[in-house]
Amino acid sequence: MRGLTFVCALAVPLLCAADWPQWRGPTADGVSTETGFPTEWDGKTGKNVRWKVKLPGAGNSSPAIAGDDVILTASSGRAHGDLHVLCYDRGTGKQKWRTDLTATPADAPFSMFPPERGHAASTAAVTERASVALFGTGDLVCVDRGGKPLWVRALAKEYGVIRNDYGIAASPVIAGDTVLVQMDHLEGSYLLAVDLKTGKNRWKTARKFAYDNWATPVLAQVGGETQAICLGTKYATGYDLATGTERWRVEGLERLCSCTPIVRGSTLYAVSGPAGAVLAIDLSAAEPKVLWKSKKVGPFVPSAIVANGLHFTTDDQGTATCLDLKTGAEKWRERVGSGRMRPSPVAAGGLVYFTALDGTTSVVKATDEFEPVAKNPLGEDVAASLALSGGHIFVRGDKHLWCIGK
Amino acid sequence: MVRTCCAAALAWAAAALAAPPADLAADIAALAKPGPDPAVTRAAWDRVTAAGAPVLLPLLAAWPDEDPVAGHWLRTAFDHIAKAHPAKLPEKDLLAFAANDKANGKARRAALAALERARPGTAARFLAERLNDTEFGPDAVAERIAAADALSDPAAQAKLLRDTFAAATDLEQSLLLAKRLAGTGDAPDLFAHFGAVRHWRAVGPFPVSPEDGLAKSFPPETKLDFAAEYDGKAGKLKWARATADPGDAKLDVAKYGIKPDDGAVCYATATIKLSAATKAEVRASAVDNVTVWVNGAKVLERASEYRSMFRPDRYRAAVDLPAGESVVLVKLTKTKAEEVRGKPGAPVRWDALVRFVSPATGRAVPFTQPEGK
Repeated sequence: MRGLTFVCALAVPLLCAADWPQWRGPTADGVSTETGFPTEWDGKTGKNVRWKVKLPGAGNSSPAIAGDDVILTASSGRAHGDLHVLCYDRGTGKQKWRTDLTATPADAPFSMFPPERGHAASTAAVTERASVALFGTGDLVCVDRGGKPLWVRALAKEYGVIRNDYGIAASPVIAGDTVLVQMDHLEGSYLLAVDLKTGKNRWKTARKFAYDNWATPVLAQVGGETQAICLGTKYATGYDLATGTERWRVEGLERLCSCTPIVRGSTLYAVSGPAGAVLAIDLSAAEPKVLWKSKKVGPFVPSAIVANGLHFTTDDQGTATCLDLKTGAEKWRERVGSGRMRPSPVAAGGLVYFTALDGTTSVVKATDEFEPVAKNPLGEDVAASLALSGGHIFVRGDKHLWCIGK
Repeated sequence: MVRTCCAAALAWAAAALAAPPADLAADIAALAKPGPDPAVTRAAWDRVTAAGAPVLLPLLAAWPDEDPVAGHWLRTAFDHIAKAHPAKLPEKDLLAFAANDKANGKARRAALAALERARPGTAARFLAERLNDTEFGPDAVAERIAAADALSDPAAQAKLLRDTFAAATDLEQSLLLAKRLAGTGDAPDLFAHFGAVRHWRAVGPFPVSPEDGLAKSFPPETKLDFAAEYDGKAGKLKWARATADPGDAKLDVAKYGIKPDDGAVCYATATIKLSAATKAEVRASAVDNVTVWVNGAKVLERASEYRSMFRPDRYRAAVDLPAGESVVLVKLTKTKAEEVRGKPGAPVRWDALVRFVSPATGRAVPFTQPEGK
């Protein structure tokens, strides 16, 4: 447990408890320790909608919340050639600043999968002083909390065009004074660590066995050292955070890894797809081993949730599965959404929030028996994951940013 | 070419506005060529943005073609000033800069975006006149497609689509326009429009394992003998004539009995004839791997054990095409499939698209295909 606390401290430097400063929140697992989030809303009638604002561009990235700021990325224009880092006031939704950048030319415009994709699928990571945003074009940008540039990189220019058939979606991860970027694609995957202050490389490690993947790295204590763990192309792989040296590799994942794994204590829970198994991997030794492997119930795109000693997932068609965390035994399997599921679920206050691509969020109790609480339409497609902060739920819809709550 | 454009743009900016003081010019140069320490670049950025509207044009003029990092510093500085001083925008000069097709395209876009923020509607009026602009042409095409969709008169709609198709250079836009035109009874020639090869000869699949297919060479790579027979997976292989689909210009070799089994290799060749020597860009797309030779020289290769989807114009290379005939040879290799690809029940395809365009304009290189070759 001490290791987990240490890792969380690394990941969320100097921010408040109510912040949701990165992909999947302060503990990188989609879980908020806060309580009192809304369970019912209706985007069509305005019930429990505090504010909504129109967005200037497309994207599947999720909101990051720090202090009074809601940070979001987007892309727009011809071939999504304009990249945006956006900041809104969390109380009112008023735009505080907007930083526009010109994209490095990309391999292909991603307009073939709804909602319109663009190059903003990675969620920004925010610290007290800076926001780091990564775009599918390989443009890696660090701006101060006023939106002014601190450093910029063009990874496609430095390391070659990024060819990922569905675009880059792994989010940057801030680990103390290091920014991690997992760049998995068809021709030359790598894990990159750069200095948060200067943007300069600390190390870059090739991932020669890895191709198209979209999972975000997580941090964990393994064998007495802090490691970055990446999922991709059949393997979970651990890298020494200090040097980038590969320490171990565990096989058992599917070819395509979209889901960010979860660290609980000394166990990593990993899912991959399509239709892959759930793997529990013991991280207590320097050579991690598979503890249990479920039957094939894993999702493809949405990441999992671990809460109340249970493991929750939804497949892409909206069927949720609850597993016992210790054994992988199935507790229940129920339909929670109609149509496709793209956002990853989030959890708080003993509840799990499953959101479907049509924008409907199903709230269920995080218990070993299926107990639905509410079903909440938004009236707008949602491919991004919800952010929970300060009693409010922030939703990035296809066209709008929403704040749910009083 | 890049230097020429930058020099022209700088000269133009110098003529348009008085040059900034020497220290500011040095700061702008620091943004245009960022050094190793971002704190130094940021300090220059702060000084430049504090200078306000007078440095707007010099910032645009300093934008280099091949350095996206410099582009980020320059654009953020430009936008910061333009947003802070909306009443002081040199609108005429910015509009002239946006219209200058010798200036950096991304800088031109930043100028137009600033004008659009200040006076909404500026971009639409501007784009109406930029159909053949190398930077803004696709934007103008998109505006015209939207305008055509809004027309209720079928004849007027067809005319607008026809004119727009003639100007379109973007592959996806051209395909969309061709589809719309086909709906009005037109039969646009996508081969001529794309510079795509229509008539091919194809042979395959050669018998290899998925692992061997990438590295193993077969006789067509050394000698094109259309009378030859080769050992195939299921008997002798012979060259067969094949024609790309007029609806999308793709050559689907599966239509000619070449099955895309795991690790399969096939070849397609064509002869094209140009009236004059031309510097061109070959653009190739295929499912999985593709190698292209032009007149015996390998110009482009994607060879990976891992699959790849068909993405238009994904692989590109510069080629010198001589006057007269040139022989194009394409090798297609399937990687090992780990699951069923495509929609269940849909016809199996093995697509490739090869085209030749002007590197400067993206427009088709005109060529013919000699009869009988």
